[in-house]
Amino acid sequence: MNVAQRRHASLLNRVGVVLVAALCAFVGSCAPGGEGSDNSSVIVRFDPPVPEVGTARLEVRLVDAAGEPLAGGELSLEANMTHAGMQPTFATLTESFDQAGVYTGDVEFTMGGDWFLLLNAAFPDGRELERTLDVPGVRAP
Amino acid sequence: MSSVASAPEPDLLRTPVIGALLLRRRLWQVPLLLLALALVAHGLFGPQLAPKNLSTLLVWVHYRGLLLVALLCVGNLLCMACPFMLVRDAARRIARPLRAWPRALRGKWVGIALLVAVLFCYELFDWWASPWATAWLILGYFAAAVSVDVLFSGAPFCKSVCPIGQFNFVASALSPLELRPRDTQVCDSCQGHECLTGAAPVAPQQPAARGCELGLFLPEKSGNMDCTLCLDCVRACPEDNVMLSTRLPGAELFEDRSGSGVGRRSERGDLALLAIVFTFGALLNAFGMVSPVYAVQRAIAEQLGTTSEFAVLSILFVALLVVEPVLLLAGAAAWSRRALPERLPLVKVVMRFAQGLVPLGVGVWAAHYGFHLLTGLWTFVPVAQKALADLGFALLGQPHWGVGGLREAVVQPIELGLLLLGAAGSMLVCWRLAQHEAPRRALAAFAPWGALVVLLLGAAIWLLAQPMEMRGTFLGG
Repeated sequence: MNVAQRRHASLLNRVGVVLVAALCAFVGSCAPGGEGSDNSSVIVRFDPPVPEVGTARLEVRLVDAAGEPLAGGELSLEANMTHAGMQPTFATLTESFDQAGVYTGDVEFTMGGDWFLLLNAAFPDGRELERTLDVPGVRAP
Repeated sequence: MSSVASAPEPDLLRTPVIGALLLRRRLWQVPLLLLALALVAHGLFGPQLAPKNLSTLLVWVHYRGLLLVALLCVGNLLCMACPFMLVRDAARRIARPLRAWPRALRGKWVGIALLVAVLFCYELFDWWASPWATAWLILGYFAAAVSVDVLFSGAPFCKSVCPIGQFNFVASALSPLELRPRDTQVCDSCQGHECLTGAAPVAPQQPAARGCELGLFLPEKSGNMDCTLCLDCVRACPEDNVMLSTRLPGAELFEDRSGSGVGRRSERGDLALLAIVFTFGALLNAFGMVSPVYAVQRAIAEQLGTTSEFAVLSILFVALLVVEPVLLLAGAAAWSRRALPERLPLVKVVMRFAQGLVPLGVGVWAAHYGFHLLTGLWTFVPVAQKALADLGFALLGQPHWGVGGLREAVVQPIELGLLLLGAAGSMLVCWRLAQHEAPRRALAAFAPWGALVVLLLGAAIWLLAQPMEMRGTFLGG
């Protein structure tokens, strides 16, 4: 191989490495799919309506695909900030005496900003429900 | 008269175990490469919730905090252990670079632009909340490092491009350790300059030792600017005449010696701009996580009648990273110039004093990143437990999600201490710079810069006192 050929091969090698690097970056840009979901509905209401730092009253209404309330469940939730590294808070929700499928509890928001709730529900018939609920813009004092 | 023999300078490279560990760079790079790959995999295919994903957690909480701990306690260790360079070295075995980095792109201009771009995109795209984006960012770094260094010889990615590297170079001015000759007389008689040019292999089957790819000739090196602590110079020196020893942190900011590969800081406009972006960027980045920023952003949006976060953030960045520094620095320079023996253009005065802001900048970054590191110190444990369990290795037991770190009330005094230390450092550097620039009227030359440091310290303490609020939805989007 003469000098010109060697230089040509070296150039091809360099271009190849750059293309591989670009391909790695492109493959990395393929996002995973979203979470699967069942047909149950989760309706969440806060008191105050826009939560502030501190304790907020939470009401969760659960209905199945037919619109029937999902009663008798044990609900727990974990509240996290969307920023990593913040300590989560936990709460247990209890079902209302007079409204089937309506659960209430207190959630502690320790800092202003965007939060999300990881809701877990287990029902007597063995069904389980998991939901991630966004709580954007918890107000700082 | 009795003479006192001076104690030999400590040399970390000759310290048992530590020296051997430092000299084996692959020991640090390979684990970090594996960790980077794990973060990419978890970021792309793991849960897309930032607190539950190792990529967002370890990059934005632990890596950034530990970076500054390493810089302030030892030196530029994370550049030394950089996994991008491991991949780059492997790529260069396939394709050797033939071209020199273009002269027009030398210096820190590209790196400064990328540093600002990273700070901007961090806020605009809420990288802190996106495992997928964080994984992509890591891959982008690998791709950029390989692309640049496969096309161009030397280490242009480290020296001129890498935003993390530029950040580390600035902050490493406060590191307590520095590479330097053990005996300068040995260097005086050196003919080969192997620390810069590299050493030939001693035996045919041995690899050649690489010289400094960043162009630092050790006997003329001044400070830690551009030093990635790769220790290539140590391996290349045939006289074993390189030591990693203690020095006065921050001294390089006011000594202003002409250093190999760097020149004089006071004559480098790019280094002055880097110090300014580093310092004001620290305040801007901290401002992005407290409550008042959203009121400011809403006010800007209402005035403009826009809901474009790009437009609002652009205005905020221009205001805090261009207009504010220009006004404050021009004011301080104009005031200070009256005490200088020669009438210099304002830009020159700023270039001579800009390095004085660096310690305060380090203090602000350390307070900010230290907050995240300390309050979220152990949060990686349950996330790692869950990640391993998802892979079928429940070796670490069930995740304990309640694990956190230090309480905010404990961390806040530490933050305040870091800010005050940074400000004290800036005061000292500005004072020494003033003494150098205006020996007869040092106090008058120092006063405006001291006032600026106090002003910026006040801003940093005000930020610290604000309620934290981390949001990506300030315009209701």
